[in-house]
Amino acid sequence: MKKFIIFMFLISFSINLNASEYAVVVNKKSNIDNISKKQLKKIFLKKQYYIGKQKVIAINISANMPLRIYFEKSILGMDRDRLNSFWTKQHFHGVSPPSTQSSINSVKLFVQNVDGAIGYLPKNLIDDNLKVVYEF
Amino acid sequence: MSFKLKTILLVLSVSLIPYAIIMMLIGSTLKQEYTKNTLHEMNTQLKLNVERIEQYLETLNRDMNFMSRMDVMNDIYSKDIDKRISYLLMEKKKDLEIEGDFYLFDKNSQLIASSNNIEKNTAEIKKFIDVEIFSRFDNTKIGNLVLDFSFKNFTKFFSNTKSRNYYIVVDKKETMFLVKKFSNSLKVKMPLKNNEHVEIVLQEDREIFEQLLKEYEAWFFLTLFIGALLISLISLYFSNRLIRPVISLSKAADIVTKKKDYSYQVEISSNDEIGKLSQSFNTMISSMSNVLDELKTESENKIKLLQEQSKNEMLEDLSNKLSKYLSPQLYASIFSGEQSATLSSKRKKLTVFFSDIVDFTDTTDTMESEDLSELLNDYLNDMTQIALKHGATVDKYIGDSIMLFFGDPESKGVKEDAISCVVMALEMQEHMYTLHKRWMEKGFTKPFKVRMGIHTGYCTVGNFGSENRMEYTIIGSTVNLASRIESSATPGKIFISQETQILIKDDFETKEEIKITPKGFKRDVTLYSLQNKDQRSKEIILDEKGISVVYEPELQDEKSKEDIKKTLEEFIARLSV
Repeated sequence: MKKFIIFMFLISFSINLNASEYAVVVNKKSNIDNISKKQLKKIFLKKQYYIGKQKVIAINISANMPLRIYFEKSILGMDRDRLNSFWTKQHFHGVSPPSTQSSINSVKLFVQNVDGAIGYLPKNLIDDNLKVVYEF
Repeated sequence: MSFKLKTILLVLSVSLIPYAIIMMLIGSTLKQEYTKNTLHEMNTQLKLNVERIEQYLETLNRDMNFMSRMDVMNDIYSKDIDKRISYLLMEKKKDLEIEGDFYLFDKNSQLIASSNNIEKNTAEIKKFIDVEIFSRFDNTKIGNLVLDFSFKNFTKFFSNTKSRNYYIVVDKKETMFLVKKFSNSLKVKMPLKNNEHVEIVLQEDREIFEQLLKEYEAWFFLTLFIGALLISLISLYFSNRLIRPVISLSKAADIVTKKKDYSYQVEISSNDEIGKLSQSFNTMISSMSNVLDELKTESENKIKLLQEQSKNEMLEDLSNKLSKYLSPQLYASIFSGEQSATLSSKRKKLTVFFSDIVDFTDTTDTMESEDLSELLNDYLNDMTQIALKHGATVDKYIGDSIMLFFGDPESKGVKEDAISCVVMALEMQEHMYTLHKRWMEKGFTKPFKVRMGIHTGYCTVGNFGSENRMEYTIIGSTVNLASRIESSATPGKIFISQETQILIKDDFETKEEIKITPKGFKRDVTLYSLQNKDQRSKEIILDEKGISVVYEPELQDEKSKEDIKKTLEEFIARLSV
């Protein structure tokens, strides 16, 4: 039942993908105010860990989520195959992909609770505890 | 206590006590050994189980550590709203099949997830294993993974049996899983290495062992009893065997003492000291019997000797008494065996002597019979003494007269016998003076006068009479004639026949007196008187009224003559007044 509700919820979001409905968010206590797309790409590919003195922790959503796919396409500019081969290569360098959260809410909570955490969420879920640093 | 009882007790104590001690020692050693072995075995078992438990706990710990390092733990930040951690914990619980639950706390000790969906007060959660969780990206502690663990999990390692039971003691006071509390038990305990306030205890019900032991003890005591019985029987048998010879010895001693049977012998059944003792006893008894036999013979001999002696004494006594009735010659010849006591006789030439007191019957009439017998005995005694001195055979006393003869049983020869007879007769006549004097002192004033007759001729001498009463005497005309001669003799004289006179005339002076023709004799017999040393002429006898004097010069000495003179002068002076 729970899974069904989540599924329906996800479907409802996937309809409005074309508009600037998503935002990259950080902890509101974070001193990061905005991040360029290039920076985002580096962070999520684990090529950059700091913004200024702030350590950043990228949080992905589950791989099969449309938001993740959208994010990968629009920010990283890479499809799943490329990403898979990329991370396979990176694995041998001791670098693992960013940790994932299976739901949007858990991503939101994670970012709220972890300093330097950086994640992406639908705009309508963003509240005062979060700071938007990029919109897409 | 008897010797037998003592021996039995000794043998019993020597055999039974060590047996009992050994059996008891075996029993107690068995018990101790059993306890020791059981404890050792229990310890091994417990150690094995504790090791398994520790391994199990180690595995749990490792699993939890592994879980704590999983990426999914980052969901702590998102409060596990996706239930990924919860799912993981539940899966893990199922996988491990444990009793108890995993709990996940964030760094603020807020419960984030658990392996059960029940809302639980965090204070109730016991942190049996607590693993810290570090963030995957910056190594900061983000929470704790806790296992609220039930000790029930250990029970699967416990292989409880009816008599054996594992249980857990926490902090030395809280006891868990104690299936049964045994009143009497063996216990081994071991604390967990990484959790020292938990002690695993293994207990063994001793009751069962005790019961087994009791059963065993019953057998043990039965064996002990049978053994003791056997030992007792054997010791009884042996002590009996030991004692039997001693008892038979004492019985033998009893028999010997009571029945005086010295031929009794003890049976010797062994070669040992008692056997030797029995042998010695037998030897002793037989030697005793020998000694007794000897003693018996000796005493019999002694008794015989004594009897003989007394018989002899009696005989001697008897013969002594008898001798007074017999003449010594006759007596001697009888006792020497020369003369046999048979009616036999022989002819022999003998000198026969007769004497008697003149007018004895007249004299006796005036005397008391006591005085008379004293007088007569005195006279006969003295005469006999003289006769025997000269070797006469006193034939018999006939009242106051004496008949005796010379020549049998001892003879010096016919002539010598005749001389002996004459000498005797003379002494007798002489002795009459002494007797007169003695009697006068006693008051018998009238002197006796004795006449004597002697004749020599052939006589028949021997035992006359019957087989029952016989007399040794002489018979024949010679005896008759001798009697006649005596009765013809004048008082105070000795008359002898011609036959005798012929034999003695060389030695004695004789004087022919008268011729008589005795009764029964055809021819005359000439009689001679024997002349002595004429004592009579020297002798003065005064026998008047109021005076009686007998003077015997030979008996006087000078002093007595003076005394007589004085007395006579006084007497004369009195007479003339």
